Formats: sequence, C-alpha cells, structure tokens
Amino acid sequence: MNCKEFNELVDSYLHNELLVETNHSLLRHIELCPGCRESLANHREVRSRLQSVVRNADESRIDPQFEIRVRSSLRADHGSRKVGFGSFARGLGFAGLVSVVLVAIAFFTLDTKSPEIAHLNPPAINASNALPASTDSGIGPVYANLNKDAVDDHKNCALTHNLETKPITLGDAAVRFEPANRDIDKTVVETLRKEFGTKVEFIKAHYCLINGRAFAHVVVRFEERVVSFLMTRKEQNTSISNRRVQQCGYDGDLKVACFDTQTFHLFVVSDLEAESNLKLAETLEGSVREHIAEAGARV
Amino acid sequence: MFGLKRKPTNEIWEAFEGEALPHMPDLYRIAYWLVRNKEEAEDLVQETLSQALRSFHRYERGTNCRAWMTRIMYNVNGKRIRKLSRLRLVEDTEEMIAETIAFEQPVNTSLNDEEVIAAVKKLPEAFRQVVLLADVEEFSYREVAELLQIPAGTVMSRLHRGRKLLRMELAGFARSFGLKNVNEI
Repeated sequence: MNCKEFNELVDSYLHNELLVETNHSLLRHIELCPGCRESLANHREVRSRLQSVVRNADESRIDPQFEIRVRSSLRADHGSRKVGFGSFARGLGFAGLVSVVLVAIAFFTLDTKSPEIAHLNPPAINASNALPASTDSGIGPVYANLNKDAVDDHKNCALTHNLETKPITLGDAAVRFEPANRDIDKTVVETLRKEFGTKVEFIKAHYCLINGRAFAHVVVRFEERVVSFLMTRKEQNTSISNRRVQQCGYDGDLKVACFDTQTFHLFVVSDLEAESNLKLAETLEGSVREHIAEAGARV
Repeated sequence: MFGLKRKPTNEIWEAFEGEALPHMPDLYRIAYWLVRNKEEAEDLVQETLSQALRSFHRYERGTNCRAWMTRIMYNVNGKRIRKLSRLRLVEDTEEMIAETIAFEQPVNTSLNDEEVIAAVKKLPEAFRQVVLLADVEEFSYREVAELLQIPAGTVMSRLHRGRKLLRMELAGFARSFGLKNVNEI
C-alpha cells in the first residue's frame, strides 16, 4: 500500500469497513510511514470530535417536554386502538356481541352499586390499565394509563370526594390485600416531616379504587398545596424494572413524579412546581422502599 | 380463538416502550440534521414513532431497532418531501466541487464546537447526510445505503468526498485563525 491508497482507505479503516487483508495492508503501511501514522491519528481525532460535537450540540438535543408529550400521546393512541376488535366482533357474531354487551351492562351495574371496596375482588389491575415494561432512559417512561389513574385518584379523592366506591382503611387493606399498606401513611408523613418539619400537614389516608385500580392513598398539605402519595401493586408476572424517582408526567397543572419497587408503583401528584414535587418523591423514596421491604419480610 | 394474529395491544406497547422509545433522543438528532428545523424534526419523530408503533408487530426482536426506526423515518421524510414537492437531488456542481479537492489537509482539532457545527452545516446536503449517518450515528455503509436508497458504491464515494469537504471546511476555519499546521501540505 502506498500513501495515496492509504488516504483513500483511511476513513473506511476507521469505520471498520475494510476487508481483513486490506486492514493488515494498511496497518503494515503506517508502521513504516510516520506521515500516514500522523494522518491516521488526525482523522481519528476529527471523527471523534465531529461525533462528540454533533451529538452534544444544543440543537441535536430532544426537548424533554416533547419527549414526554410524544410518549403519552403514543400510549394513549395505542391504548385506544383495540387490536383485532374487528376479528373479535366478526368471530363472535351479532348475537354473541349483544350477549357480551348485556353481561357487561349487568356487571357495571352491580359494580357501581358496591358500597365499599371490600366487595370487590383483590385489586387486580385490569387489562386496559396494565403496565408496560420499564426501561429507564434519562427522562424515564411515561405510563399514560397508570399516570392517568394516579392523577384521577388525586383529583377525585384528594381534591374532591367523588369516588364511586367507598375507601377502606389501610389496616384493612393490609389484611385483605398487601401487608405494605399497613402504616404506609405513618412512614410517608414522618419522612416528610423529618425533612420539611411543620410545613407538612397530614390530611387523610386510606385505600381507594379509581378506574379499577386500587391505591394506598396518603394525602398531605405541603406549602398550602394538596399532595397525594399513591401506591399501587404491580401487575403480576410483569418484567418491569425498578425505576428510580423521576418526573413521569403532567396533566395541566398537576405534576406526577414516580418510582417503582419490585412489587409496587409509587407516585407523588400535586400542583407544586415540578422540582418541588420531584423533591417530595425523592425524599420519600428511601423510607418507602424500606417500609415495603420490611412488610415483605414480615409476610 | 378469534383468529387474532397480532400480539395483545399491551404486550406490543411493552415491547415498543422497552426497545423503541429509548432511541427517541437519537431519532430526534437524526431528524434534526435531516430537516434542520426543530418543529419539522419533532413532527418527523412523532410521525415516525407513530408508524413504528403501528408496525411494531413486524419488527424482528433482537435486530437493530434504531436502524429499523431510522429507515421508517427516512421513508416518512421521503413521502413528506414528495408531498411538498421539495425533492432536491445532489447537484452536479456539488459533485464537481468535491472532485476538485486534491488533497487531505490535516485539521487542527482545537477548533471550538461552533466552528465544527458550522463546518457540518456548510456541507452540501447529500454529503452531510452520509457523513452524519456514518461518522456520527455509526451506521454501516450498507445501512446508510438502505436508508438513503442509493447504491453502496455511491455511499462510499459521497462519504469520501463529504469527509474531504468537511476537513477542508475545518481547515479553512483553522487557517482563518492563523493556525500553522493547516498550510503544511
């Protein structure tokens, strides 16, 4: 190989696109040619510089708000498209469909008449609310349905009293469902008071149901704002990783910070500034993880 | 039971969120340098992801998801350009300019970031695309050829010329600041 041929091939060499024989030939050449050796180093440095500058340029960076919006919108669109519904309806036939509708109406009628949560089966997460797998990637995933449930619970339970199903106590929920519900309110309030003192005022705590999903719900007042801490069990057999605290959604003025343990999804929802809301979740993360781990160990 | 061939909706979403969505920042970067406008890049990313999600049952797990979505993006962008009748082919003059670069100049790599970005922006579009896809995004020559729907030989020649042009631009910046080594050859 001569210097001219080296110049033709140097970039392909750096891109690992040369045949093994050509690679060897190029390497042999630079052993003997200090000029081309220097040129190779220069090409490598320029390439590395180009990569780093373009990748880190402000204009190359995605707007985090846009990323959140897109994730939510994709999730919502996808959730609203019931795959195979056409085949389902065709396969079932009209009469079958009518039967399904009648059964569904009967079910919902009974459901809404249930006086309290205890009349329902354990807090299974229905299919439409099931959670997608987590892959932490900086901003973190937005689980539109899950976030929506958390926000809805904050709105309909903490801000107004608009629940269709009567809540039960956390103690009852601990016995009937998950032991971690017991005293989760104490853990939350004590942890927040330890950090923020009397700025934290306990309002209420219970176990409530919204959109078919059950939450341990602790409501506090912080800096004159109502803040919900919500804990819901993960779907069984899911392969969701444990997210650390992250900003995971907005709904108007309401911000949602979230994190996961092995068995639970946890949320802090409020109309505080996003940073403050996130800070509350960060403050709670350690002690809530400990609380859940201890409850699991007691079982 | 009812002849459903696709996976359940939620299962597809889980897989999509796990494999495809983490590439969103990369997709945006590629989109930005493709259309060079924030709003258009965001539209392109959104449309790409939307189409990718609809087609995700056809994605072969374990293959290069980023390359798969980038291909969708280029297809979406191709349709968009055709719609806007803004198709712009590489002009002969650009090829000719590139041909006239006689030699490689060593580049002083102490140039600042703005100068590097300015040099990238100055590259003719066809060359900029191949250089960015190959050198920044690290797609193979074959993948670049598939993305741009041009023969692999054309990718290689455009890359060669594009890199030369870029080095010339960078050397030009260096020279304008009186750096010595750009004039050595």
